[in-house]
Amino acid sequence: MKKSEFIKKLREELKGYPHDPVEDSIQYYSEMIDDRMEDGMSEDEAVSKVGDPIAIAKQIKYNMPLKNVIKEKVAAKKVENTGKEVNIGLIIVLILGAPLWIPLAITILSLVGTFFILLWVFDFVMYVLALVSAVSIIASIIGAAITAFTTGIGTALVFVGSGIGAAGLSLLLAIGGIAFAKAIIALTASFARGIKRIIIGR
Amino acid sequence: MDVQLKRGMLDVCVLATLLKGDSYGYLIIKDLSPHIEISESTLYPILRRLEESKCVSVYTLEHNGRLRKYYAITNVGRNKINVFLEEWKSMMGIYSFIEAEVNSK
Repeated sequence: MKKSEFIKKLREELKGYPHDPVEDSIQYYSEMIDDRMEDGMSEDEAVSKVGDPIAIAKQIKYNMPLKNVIKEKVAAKKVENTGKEVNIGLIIVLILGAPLWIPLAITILSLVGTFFILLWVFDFVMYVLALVSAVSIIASIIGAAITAFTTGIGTALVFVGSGIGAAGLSLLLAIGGIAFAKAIIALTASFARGIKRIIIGR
Repeated sequence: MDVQLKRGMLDVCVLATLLKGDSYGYLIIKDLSPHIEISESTLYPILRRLEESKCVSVYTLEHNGRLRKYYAITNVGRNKINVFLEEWKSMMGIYSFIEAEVNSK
């Protein structure tokens, strides 16, 4: 058998399988044949030493990771199906069941919407608290200044300490609020993607 | 040789040939042939497995106007060889025991 024949047969046997693993294996066997020829064998000898293309194809298919094969078959099926008529039975079921699943869907979406609103409210509260803490720093400064000249340094230091604490708390809440907001946005995005996947059925 | 036993050993055999330097498909088969029977269709899934488990790294070089895939052993691969040798040390201990029992009959 000539090398081109071997490769052609191999490709034929592997039709419909994921592109990358197929190309990879064809490259490998092509290289193997070339190396044998370089070593001094004739083309026919080299090809026959490498083996029977049908048996080799079987082995490649056997060793291919299943999820890749399934992904490829699903993609192929998709290409087949677009352009065919939609299942009539499915449409009838959807219409008849509407009084049930429409209110249900609305309820679920409202609940989800409320959940996200709550998350944002919580986030807003964090900013408010951050602001409150920031404002209390001023109170601490005033308190420290007054007590430094009246009650004594000790009390003043307490005010200074609480002022620093308030500053720290304010910073934490502000940063936390921003991080939380980012998290909510990310959650919303992945939720939207999930909905899309359910609807489109990918 | 028992098929299952051979299968586990071939991966390590291939790794061992890469210790002295990077190699490519046909050369690996040539190097291993005097020691253990291996064909290209046997070698292919082994190389795929080794690449997937990061035991080898792959690169391509041009050779006589065509591309050739070279395989290099990694530290993960070297470790796999060591584990294999350790396991077989204990295996040899058991072999000695069995042999001694047989001979003492």
